[in-house]
Amino acid sequence: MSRPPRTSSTITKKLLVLTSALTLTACSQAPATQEGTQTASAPQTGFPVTVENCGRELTFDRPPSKVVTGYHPSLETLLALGLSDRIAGRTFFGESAFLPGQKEQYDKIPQISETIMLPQKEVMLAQGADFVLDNAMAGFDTAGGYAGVAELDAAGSPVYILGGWCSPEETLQYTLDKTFTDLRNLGKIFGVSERAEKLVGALQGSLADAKKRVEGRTPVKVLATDGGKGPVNAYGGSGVTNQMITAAGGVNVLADVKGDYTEVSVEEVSAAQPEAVLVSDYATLRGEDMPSSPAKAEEAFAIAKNSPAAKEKRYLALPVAAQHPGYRNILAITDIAAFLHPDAFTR
Amino acid sequence: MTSEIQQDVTTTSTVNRRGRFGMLVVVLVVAMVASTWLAVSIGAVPVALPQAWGIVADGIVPGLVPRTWTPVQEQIVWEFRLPRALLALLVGAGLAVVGAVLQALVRNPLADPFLLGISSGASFGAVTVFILGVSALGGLSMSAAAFAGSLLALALVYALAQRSGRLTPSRLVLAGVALAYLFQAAYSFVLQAAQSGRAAQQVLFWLMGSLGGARWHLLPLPAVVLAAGVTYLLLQHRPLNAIAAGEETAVSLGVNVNRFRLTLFVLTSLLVGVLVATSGAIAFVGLIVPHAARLLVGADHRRVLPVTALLGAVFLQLVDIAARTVNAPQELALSIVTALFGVPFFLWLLRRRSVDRAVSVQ
Repeated sequence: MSRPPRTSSTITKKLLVLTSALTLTACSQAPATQEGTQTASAPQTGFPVTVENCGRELTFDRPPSKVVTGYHPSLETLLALGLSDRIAGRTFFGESAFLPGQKEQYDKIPQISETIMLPQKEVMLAQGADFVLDNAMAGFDTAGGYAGVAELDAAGSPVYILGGWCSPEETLQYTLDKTFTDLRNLGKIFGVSERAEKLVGALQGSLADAKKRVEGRTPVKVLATDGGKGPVNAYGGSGVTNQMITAAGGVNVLADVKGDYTEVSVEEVSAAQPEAVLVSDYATLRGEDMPSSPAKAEEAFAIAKNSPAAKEKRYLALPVAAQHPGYRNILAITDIAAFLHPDAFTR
Repeated sequence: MTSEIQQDVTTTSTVNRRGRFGMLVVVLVVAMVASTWLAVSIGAVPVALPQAWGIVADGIVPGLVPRTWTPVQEQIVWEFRLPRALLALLVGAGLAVVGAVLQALVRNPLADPFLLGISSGASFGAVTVFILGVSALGGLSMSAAAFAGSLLALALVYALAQRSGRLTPSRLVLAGVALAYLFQAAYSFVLQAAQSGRAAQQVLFWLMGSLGGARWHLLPLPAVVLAAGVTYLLLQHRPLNAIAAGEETAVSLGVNVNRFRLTLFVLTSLLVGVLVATSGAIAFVGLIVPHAARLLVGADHRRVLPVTALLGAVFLQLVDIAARTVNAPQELALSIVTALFGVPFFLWLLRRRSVDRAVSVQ
């Protein structure tokens, strides 16, 4: 983050301390449950469980203990549920900073892919995972050399996609509720419904707090962009980013544009007159140095040069991982709210 | 093919055709002005015509008309639409002329500006900078990297295609096509290694061509290069006709075939490098527009070149208007629209002319 407003980062820290505290409590409770599953091969109480995901029914006879995670928000979510000891393999993450306390756990988990994507089919199937969690279908595209959902199913590795991002069309239909559904489903799958409810409660609490703080305030006109000199890579009126802006007391100036991540005319961006800009922040290719967000913000300001946002150079670098279903997206709403309405967060 | 082209050259030199050629040029110039007028008048954000034209007039002669527009409208028309419309003319004309020259150079009706691997080299340069960051190629910007990539491709194609300093059409085509595949493989690898859906979407858009980044400061280079290139080619229309007719004809007409081929190869490569660096790889224009021009005026390059340039300019202007208005405010990549609009037009032209039996395509 290049120029985060002071207030927002403190809020995030507070909230993160809250959630990590929750995680720690959850962790300390974990061994009891864990022992139960390991000593007795007999079905654990409450199992089998069945959840629905991407139009498929996934049934678990026991909580998964050899999990593979894909794009980083999927790992973050399991870590937040105190499930780091169940994860047998994860992908690389170097796009942006880790959530507090998660880097240490990340380091302990074997890395099975040096990119943000799942490994190729053979490596993937060789993991012998009993559960696979990812953010989108791209990592299961057989044409791309990945193991397909059906192949993994047949190998005993059921696949769960967060946020209902089962197809490009469905990513447009994301609502914040889907994240809470995911957390509850994961709670069921791992037999940790109590922790899941706690996390849901904490997240809903922070969401409600943010909403309450910005309530009644004039929504700030926001442009969410990923840079570009023309056309502009920007976020339209459908999908997770638009939902986050709305919840944070903003209004997406491209709300009329159908689409989530799309190419928008420079004319539209110039005429949109944003008051604030959100810039997707991420380092490409293995986290090597590519400080992209300041440059992308400058591109947006040059195009919308007559806008209030450009005059004040007002932007927030938003980690792109937070623009995906997980649980960081809910935390980021508070960051965005504090950025858009600093007065509401003075205390 | 040889005899047909020679035939065309003879049939085109009739008085009747000369009159028609003049008419055609006038019609195309009017179409160019009209399409540019349209391009400045419409866009994703509506700007009323009096304002749009007031802004253009004010930009040319400050204070000519009273200001009745907002700064945003001024920016949209003066900083985005007008440079974009002018760039569309330049790129359309440039790609079409390069296509016409390459078709003559390698004596192949399927030749287009991307045949000799130059655009793939440019794309490789651009993708590398895009994915690996500006530092990867010593701080080059994306378009500078694209141009560097096209120069690299040019050098490689020349090294592969020449035999003791002589270029032959078949070697040029083979070396160009082979290197195009090599560069495509290279940039696909970089793209896949990055494994970023966002980067892939952005790069794909760029590869398929867009004029969306047009600004005033991007115009002088392609304008100067294109003007110099087209002027040179027009002056060389005789040797161009000769090598299009065949090596023996050219030699018998006193053309230094080898040197002329090399000149054309370097000239077209530089033009493609500059154009691709500005606007990405826009397909179809360079392949079809020269054929359309030949259908209209025969095979004499003195006529083919100006008509090709004008036709290419008008065509790309219309295509770009469609690309930014059909799905506004989202934009379409130009290569999608060039084919969608170009193919029906070309088929119609082909059908009409073949009935007339006036000229044959090949």
